[in-house]
Amino acid sequence: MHYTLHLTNDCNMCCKYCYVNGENICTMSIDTAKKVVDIAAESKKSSVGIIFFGGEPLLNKNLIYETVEYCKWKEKSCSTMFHYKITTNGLLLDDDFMDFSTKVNLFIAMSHDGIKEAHDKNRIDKNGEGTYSRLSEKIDLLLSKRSYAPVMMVVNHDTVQYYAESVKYLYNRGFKYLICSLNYAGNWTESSIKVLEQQYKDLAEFYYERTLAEDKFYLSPFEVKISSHINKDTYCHERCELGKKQISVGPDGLLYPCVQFVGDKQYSIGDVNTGIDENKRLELYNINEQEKESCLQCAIRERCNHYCGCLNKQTTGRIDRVSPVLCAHERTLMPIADKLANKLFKKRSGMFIQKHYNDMFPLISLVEDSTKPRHK
Amino acid sequence: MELKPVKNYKVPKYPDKKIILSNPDMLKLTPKRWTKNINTQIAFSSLLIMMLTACGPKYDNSNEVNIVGSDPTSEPGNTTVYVAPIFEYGDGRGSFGCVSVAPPAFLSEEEAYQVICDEAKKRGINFEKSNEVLKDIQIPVTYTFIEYKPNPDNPDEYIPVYPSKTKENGNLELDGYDESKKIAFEFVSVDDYRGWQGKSGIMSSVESYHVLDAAKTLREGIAEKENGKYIGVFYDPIASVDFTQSKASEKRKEASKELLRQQVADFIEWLKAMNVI
Repeated sequence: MHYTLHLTNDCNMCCKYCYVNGENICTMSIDTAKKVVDIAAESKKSSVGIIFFGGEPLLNKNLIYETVEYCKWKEKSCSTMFHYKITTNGLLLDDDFMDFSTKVNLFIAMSHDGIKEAHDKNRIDKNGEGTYSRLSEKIDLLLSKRSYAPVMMVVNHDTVQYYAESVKYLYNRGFKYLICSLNYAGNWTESSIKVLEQQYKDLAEFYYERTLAEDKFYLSPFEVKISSHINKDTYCHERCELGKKQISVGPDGLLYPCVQFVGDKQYSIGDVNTGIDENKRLELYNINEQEKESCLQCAIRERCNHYCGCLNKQTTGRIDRVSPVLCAHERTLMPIADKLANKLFKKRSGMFIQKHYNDMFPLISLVEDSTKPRHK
Repeated sequence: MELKPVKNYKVPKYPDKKIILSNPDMLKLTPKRWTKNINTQIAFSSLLIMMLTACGPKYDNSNEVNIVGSDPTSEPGNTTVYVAPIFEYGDGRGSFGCVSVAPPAFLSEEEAYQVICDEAKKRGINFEKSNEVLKDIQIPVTYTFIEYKPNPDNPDEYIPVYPSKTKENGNLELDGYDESKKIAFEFVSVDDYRGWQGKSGIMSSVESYHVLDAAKTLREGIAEKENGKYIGVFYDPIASVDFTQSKASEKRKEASKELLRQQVADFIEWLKAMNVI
């Protein structure tokens, strides 16, 4: 279970595809943050994730420090253990925050769209300037202290032609966990989907070569699609269960079933003072769980991401209406991912087999990294 | 842009986790560099044992009608069932009758047997005709007519209503068997389809055959019974070719044979994934 704290809707950047409404700036108070921690502790789950989000959460570093401190105190009197994550644009990362993150094991994910042409197209500051060059040293800082930090990359209709090159760039910079998502609300056309297809084919070649070279990495589009076949019985439980696995908390303390609903009060499922409105949560969950009429006859629906209420709402305005862009993406990606996996399996790649079929792979990988010989 | 549901999607050739866990030898394939790190080797061996025995995750396959692996808690001597997925090459649908403008070309049992045996022989599998019978399994009940009813959303349009699938108990004599490897196959032909017809009061001058659907139903029936063999279920692809071409009928048959070869090729890949060959 995770609680995503939207510390603020303010940001030091002005990304063109951002869905956060920054008109009336609102920042979470420490009282609100503590109440979220209290709600999380009352759930009596053994492990709860606290995710710092925004806007840009690093605009409120003190709030992060205080919240983590409160969590540590709370752990002494309850059975819940907290773990921490943050998604940041990276501009405000510094040595102090990195040291803090190491001390409390705060997982940092940095948003970055890849090569300069792709990144600076949409990830601009409030003056309209690109931020690529300023982030270069931040990447080095992050990876020097947190070598497993993931990078969150957005692919837009006007940067799709740089997709493969951007992934390779970020990989060569040192990121081994690459989480790539489309901006489904972008102005996608059949033509840009065709470009996307070619980019995925290019990426499949890259994935194939790196896997045979026994590199350890995670490239989300392929990992998720391959897993949807390999783990088909349990895959349905890993997908979106709206409001059940994750609760978003707005800066004003209102609770929402996921990040893209924050600010849209009709989707609020409670607040930090009165707690979660279980009836409303269940109502939204049930709407989301129902198979969409449009997808009933689809042969790949069990493996498709059309269950994501967040994405559906962002693109169509309704959680029960699937985005045609998402549909096109899934239809494009799935055969490419399956062809890739077929090739790797046929090759009997040890890395592929362990990564995808051995549930203990993460643990073994950890042992390997902890014990590998250090070169003098 | 519009939503476009996918009508058909071939089952990927790489196996799902249940198949691998029922053949754990595959999990011994590791990255080469693990062999150079003693700590990784120890971690790998210990955790693998944990995963595959009582301490690890259990996989309940009691309701599985696809691949059913061996139950480690079962009595010794219990046999296992391994039935490959249907590898879809060809629609497996055709009609015949009335004014035959473009009659389909069906593969006979003998023609299909030859194609399958030739393809399998390349990989060292020697099928022979045998008297191997699977007793008391659920056989599909088929129908050769299609009923049409008005579309509720558009009364000027008629939409097909396919008969509900039913099954009934029966015996199935397998079409080919390699006894040394315990590999067998059944080819669902149009003749089989006719032979499994259910009773109906409808007469029609046109007959329709949905051999792919019948093959899928048959596969479910076979998978429910223990028989100790690795079985592939193939079907007549009933390929279509532009009937205005010269020698269209011969070309249809050749096209069907090629699609059948692809079904067999995938079956062989599946056998390799299962470490049978």
